[in-house]
Amino acid sequence: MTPADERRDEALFDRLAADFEPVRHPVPGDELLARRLACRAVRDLAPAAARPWLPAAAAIATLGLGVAAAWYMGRPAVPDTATPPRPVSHPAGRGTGRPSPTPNPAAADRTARRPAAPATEAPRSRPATRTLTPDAAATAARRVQTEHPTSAAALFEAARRAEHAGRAGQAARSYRRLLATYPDARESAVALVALGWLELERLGRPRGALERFRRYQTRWPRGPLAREAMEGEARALQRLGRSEEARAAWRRLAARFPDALLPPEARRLVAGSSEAP
Amino acid sequence: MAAAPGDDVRAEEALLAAARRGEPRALERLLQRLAPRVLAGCRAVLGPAHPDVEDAAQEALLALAGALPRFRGECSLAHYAARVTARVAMQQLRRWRRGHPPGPHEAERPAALASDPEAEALAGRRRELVRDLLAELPEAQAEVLLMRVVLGMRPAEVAAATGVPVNTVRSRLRLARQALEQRWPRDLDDPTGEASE
Repeated sequence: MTPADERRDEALFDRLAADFEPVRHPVPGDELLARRLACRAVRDLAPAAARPWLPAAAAIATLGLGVAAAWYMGRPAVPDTATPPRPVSHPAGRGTGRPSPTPNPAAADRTARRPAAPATEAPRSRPATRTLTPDAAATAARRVQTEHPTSAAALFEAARRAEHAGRAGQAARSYRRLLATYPDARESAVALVALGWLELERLGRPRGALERFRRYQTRWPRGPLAREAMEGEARALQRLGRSEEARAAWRRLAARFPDALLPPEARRLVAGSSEAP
Repeated sequence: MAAAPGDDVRAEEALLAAARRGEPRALERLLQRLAPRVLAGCRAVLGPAHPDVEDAAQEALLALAGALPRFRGECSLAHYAARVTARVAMQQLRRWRRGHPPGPHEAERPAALASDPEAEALAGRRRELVRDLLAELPEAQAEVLLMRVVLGMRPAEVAAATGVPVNTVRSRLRLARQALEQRWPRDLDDPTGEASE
């Protein structure tokens, strides 16, 4: 192939690539849908996630381990010879059958000599005067702007960024602040649904999520996120164990969006099966 | 204030490492980062109003999660994801075309609402022509055509993502171009753009 041929090909493909430019990039609402798809993919990949008791069991096991560790660390440095040493119990599946390790005598000695922590921590002493350099001032200003954004767009951006970084609680706070401060802003419509999904899937607050999804549908019945809000409502109702209402919500969704991809349990409910979701 | 690109890359690398260790939260966050582009890629391949766009994106994300252990860093993770998206979306397109008559899926963006309706209508027809070709070309050619034209990647990026030499990419594109020229409707315009310049 001659360089001229190569240039000709490149020109053609560049031109065709330009035709695809308008349809190649994410559109408004994609982020939410993409997040849902990602959550679903991870759920599909992890069969353990389908067993809702598993996280609770893991939490109880962790708590038990923590209590055991706290008891162990809190023992006196000089063991009471009158009572035999108690074995540390391990949760099922992790037990080694070995006796609890002998504590390091030096560490035990440090523990014994460490003064007891005061009930309330004394305030840290600060230098009487601080010199603020221009760089430090700029950093502080940026930090204030990041931590205390002052417009609907900035709040939305802060929430979105926190959510993206996996800081669900911080994201929820920013969304709530946005909704409270700028209820009529364009960003608030998206925030309402985003917060609903956050509460439903990350924060375990289906009741709050349900309220968000319903409020969106009342305020923006023909809004671009109506489908997400309707699905969120149905899922929140299922999570709350309100099966009849969930069935009605799935049916409304299926009637309004016939091409919607319903999860199997929703399809069963819509079809009228009496099988519990 | 946007994060510095270096921070973003490091964060992605950390997520990737954790996801490979089997941490579901890291995998979820990684997929969440990639999902918007995967979704948009599927939409570009199938057409904005195609009913299988979400299914394809879901399938691509699952395929991507399964392929992560094989990712050796020869290209960026975004380009690796683009290749997985290209493969899954192309399979979906081919399955669809086997069972349905070819039809435009450009309904989401009516040409009449564009700033230049005529140009948008022509662009829509060219997009459909490329999709027709993607459904019929040999897979290797279709894959590079898809990544180059539909996803807008440069030949060197396509080469890195597919793991073949850049000259191989160019020769596959050349074959795709010949097939394209044979199908080009007379009323559309010169595919090389030379007549209009």
